[in-house]
Order: sequence, then C-alpha cells, then structure tokens
Amino acid sequence: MAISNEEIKKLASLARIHIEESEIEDLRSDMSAILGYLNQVKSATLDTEEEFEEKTLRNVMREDVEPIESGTYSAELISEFPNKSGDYLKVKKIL
Amino acid sequence: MEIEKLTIKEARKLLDSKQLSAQELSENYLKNIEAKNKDLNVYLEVYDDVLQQAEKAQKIINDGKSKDLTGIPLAIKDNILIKGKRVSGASKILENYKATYTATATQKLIDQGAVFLGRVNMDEFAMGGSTENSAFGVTKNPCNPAHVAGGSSGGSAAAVSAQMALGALGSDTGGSVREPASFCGVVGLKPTYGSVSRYGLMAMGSSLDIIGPITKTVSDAEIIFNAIKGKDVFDSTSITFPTSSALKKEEKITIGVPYHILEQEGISEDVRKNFDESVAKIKDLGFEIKDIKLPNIDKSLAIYYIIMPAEVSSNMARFDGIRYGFSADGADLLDVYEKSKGQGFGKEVRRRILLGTYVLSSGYYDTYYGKAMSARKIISKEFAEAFKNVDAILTPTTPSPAWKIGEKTSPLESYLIDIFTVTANIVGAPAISLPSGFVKIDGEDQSVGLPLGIQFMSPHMSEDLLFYIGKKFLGE
Repeated sequence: MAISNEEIKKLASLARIHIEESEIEDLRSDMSAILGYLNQVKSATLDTEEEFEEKTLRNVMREDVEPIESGTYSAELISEFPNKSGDYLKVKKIL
Repeated sequence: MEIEKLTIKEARKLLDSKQLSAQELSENYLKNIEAKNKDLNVYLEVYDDVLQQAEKAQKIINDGKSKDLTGIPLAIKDNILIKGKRVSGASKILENYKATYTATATQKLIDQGAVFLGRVNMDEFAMGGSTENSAFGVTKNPCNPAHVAGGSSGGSAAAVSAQMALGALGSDTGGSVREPASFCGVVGLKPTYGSVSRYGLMAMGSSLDIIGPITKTVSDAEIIFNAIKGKDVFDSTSITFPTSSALKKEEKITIGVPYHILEQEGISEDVRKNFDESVAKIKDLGFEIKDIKLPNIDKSLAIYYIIMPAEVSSNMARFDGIRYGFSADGADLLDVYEKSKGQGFGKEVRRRILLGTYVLSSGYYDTYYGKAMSARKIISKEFAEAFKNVDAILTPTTPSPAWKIGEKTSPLESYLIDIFTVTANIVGAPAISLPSGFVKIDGEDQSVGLPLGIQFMSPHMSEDLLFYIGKKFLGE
C-alpha cells in the first residue's frame, strides 16, 4: 500500500504532530512497508458461515452517585500545569 | 544470603522467621542496583524512601501480620503510577511528571507492605520490544550486555534477571511482559484481560493492555498475580475472578501445538530445536501433546498492528502540552499542540500515532480497522474452538533470541518479533512465558548464552492451569 508524502503531512496535521520536512521520506517508506504487511488482514476468513457472538463485550454503566467533594484533587492537578495563572490553566491565543 | 537463589517464596520464610530483616533485604538489592545500574541502565530512578518502606514492612512483620509480599523488594515499570512519585512512561513528554494518584495494582501491593525499589526502563509508552525506544537509553540484557533486554517491559525483566529486584510489575499489550521475560531468562505472566485493573496504568491499547508480573519462578508470579488481581470500580473492564479452580487435576492435561505456524519464515533454527526439546520434556512430564490447526492465527500480527495503533492514536491525544507534562512554546494554541507532541514524543510513538490516524481515517476505516475488528472475532472463535479439544496451547515465546542492540533497523522487522505473543492479547486469554534454555551465538563468547522461552496460553481466567503446568516444567 503506497502512501504519499502529502498523505503523511495530512496525517501529521490531523494528529496535531509537528513533523520535520527531513523525516517525511523515512516515515513514508516505513509506513508503506507496514501497511503492505497489514493488507493480509483482508484474507482472514471463517470456515463456517455462522456468526460468532462475542459474549464478553457489553457496556458497563453505573449511577452517577457519591460525587467527590470539589477541590479534593485540585492542588496536585494544578501543580502539574505547565503554564498557569493562579489556579487557572494559561494557554496561547486560540485564533 | 545467596541473592542469586533467592525467590519471593524463600525471602518470605527468611523474613517471617526473623533470619533476615526487611531493611537488610532491601539494602542488598540497593547495593546490587548501585553496582550494576550504570552498565545495564535498568532503573530510571531509585526511590529515596526505600529503607523507610522497608522499616514499615518490618513493623508489619514484627506484629505478626505479614502477607505474601510484606517487605519484598519489587521494581515497577515506568508506566504504573504511585501518587507523588515521578513516572514518565520513558518519554520526554512526561519527564518531570509526578503521579497525582496511585494505580490499583500498586495500591494492593503497598497495602501488603511490599517495598518499591524504583521505576524501571521501558520502550516509550510501552511501544516497542527492546527498550531501544526509551527516551532515556536502552536497557542491556544482563545475560549478555551487547544484546537488548527485550521490551517493552525490558527494565522489569532485566531487574529480576540481574538480581536488582525480587520481582517486578510490567505491562503487556502485545507481548511486553513475555518477550523481555524470555530474553532475560525469567518468568513473565500476561493475565486474562480485565483480571488486573488498568487504573493507573498509562493507556496504550486499551482493549489489549494488562499489568503482569515478572519473576524468577512460577510460584512467585502466582503470588504477585494473586495480590494484584480483582474487580475494581475504577476500571469498568475489570472482572471478578472466580474462586473455584479451572484445574481438573484428575484428568490428563492436553496441550495443543499449532505446528503449522512454526513452519513459516523467520523462526530461528535454535528456537525450533529448543522448542522441540521442550515439547519432549513436557511429554515426559506426563502431558499429552496434540497437533492443532489455527487457520487464521498467521493474521494475528496484522490484526494487532491495526487495532493497537488505532487505540494508541486515540490514547496519545491526551498529551497536548496543556494540562501536564512537557510544553513547547508556540505562536498560538495549535502551534503549542504540534510542537509539544513533535518534540515530546519519540519516533516510534509518532509513527504509531500516524499509523493509527491512517487506519481510522474515513477513507480507509473499512479496509483496515473494520476488517481487523471482524478478524479479531474470527481469531477469538478459533481459540474458543481449539480450547474445546485442548487445555492449553504451546508455542515458542519469540521467533528468535534477543537481538544485538541497534541490529534491527526497520520498524516492520521489529514488529515481527511479536508474532507468537500478540494472539493472547487479541483474544484476551492468559499466557505465560517460561525460561526453556540457552542458545550460543556464533562469533560471540561461548560461555555466555542467550535465554530462550516457551509460551503457554489457556482459556480466560484459567491462570491456575498455567501455574500448574509452569511449575511442573520448571520443577518447582
């Protein structure tokens, strides 16, 4: 499965990752090789027609009860902010 | 005390009979770490409160309230959290991060009074099979330092193998406990998916991840597993483990060997020879060996390398340079995101994020992710069918022994090492790697061999069967 340099750039932008221009060619060739290998997934077939029901997968829900008191974990979490102003996260301008 | 021969079980006897204090035991390991860590690069950090932890443990012992792991010095993989201690996932993006809560598995060990010596090296965010992807240098194989220790839990396996801890916690997404255990000549257990809570384990592939023990013996792996397993309100995928045993001791245990997958390319002759010898030994121990067919198992690796990066791309999105961890300066918010991720993540992590983004993108979703999800069901069905006829499935743990540091140059080449291990993660079944011998490497010092391992897989929640077979195999 060939992948183009343009596609690599597009993926990087979708994933919000800065990629150096010099890395693109290596990434392209590595990913093309990997995707080529992954194509064999298409040939997986079941010998019987019957559908296999996975019984173990289900959604786990619970009531929204016993809320933790506001502020319990705040100090530790805030101390990990790379940039802050008082107790607020500080970020660069959005637009 | 002969530290080489010491096991968790043995240390328990020495501690409880007061022949050894918890402080003395920990000091011995600290000395060993001090002596060896510079060369092997196993520990990223040795905690400064080890002796205080040991003192606490000694009090529990003195009060006659010791449990299996009270005072036992353990190493912890750098992706499992202890509140207030640094934990980096061996990544630059979390280099100075301090955990804001404690993982359930570690909390259970702390509750028993286990002693954590420090955090050990791994591939960045557990992505790799050699620790060569760690942002803090490769961990060398204690059996032969020119070779890798394996990964991603390479530090955990090396710590146990080099007498730098009595046991260790690792995590296994596609073989990350079993492969390094096999490379370093120790025991590694990947438990049933959900049997150990993932709360406080940095997420990589959430439908595949599990915490597991690395130890010298099967009995020790069983001790740690029993301490950390159990349902947890903080992990909705965790399960209640049955108290009744899956083991039918009165019946002869049948072990299936899918010989057809040993015929494919890339399996070293040494591994095959050692495997055949191991099979002969297992027969001698009274087990029945049966040749079985798993027609789609050869697609496991492709399925894994679609599902795992897909989940990685989603899990890694949380590292954005805003709420915690490394933050790069940028012109605007988007620039901060892109530069923080670009500079904070290593090459393999970025590659897997891009790969995951690709297989989940609208144009290719059906071709890759959709197809992999249905193939995952097919493999699960195949396993369920196989376990109607056999009690366990046996393969080598890896297709070759530990490679030389720097030898593998393409990512695909390193992915192929996971060929036998990924299946257990795909189906969620438990699997154990046992040391099965050594191989001499051509052109290298013939007195030093590299360890090899064999892997048993069994149905969900039948760890006790793996422990039973494992103890027989290792003569415990």
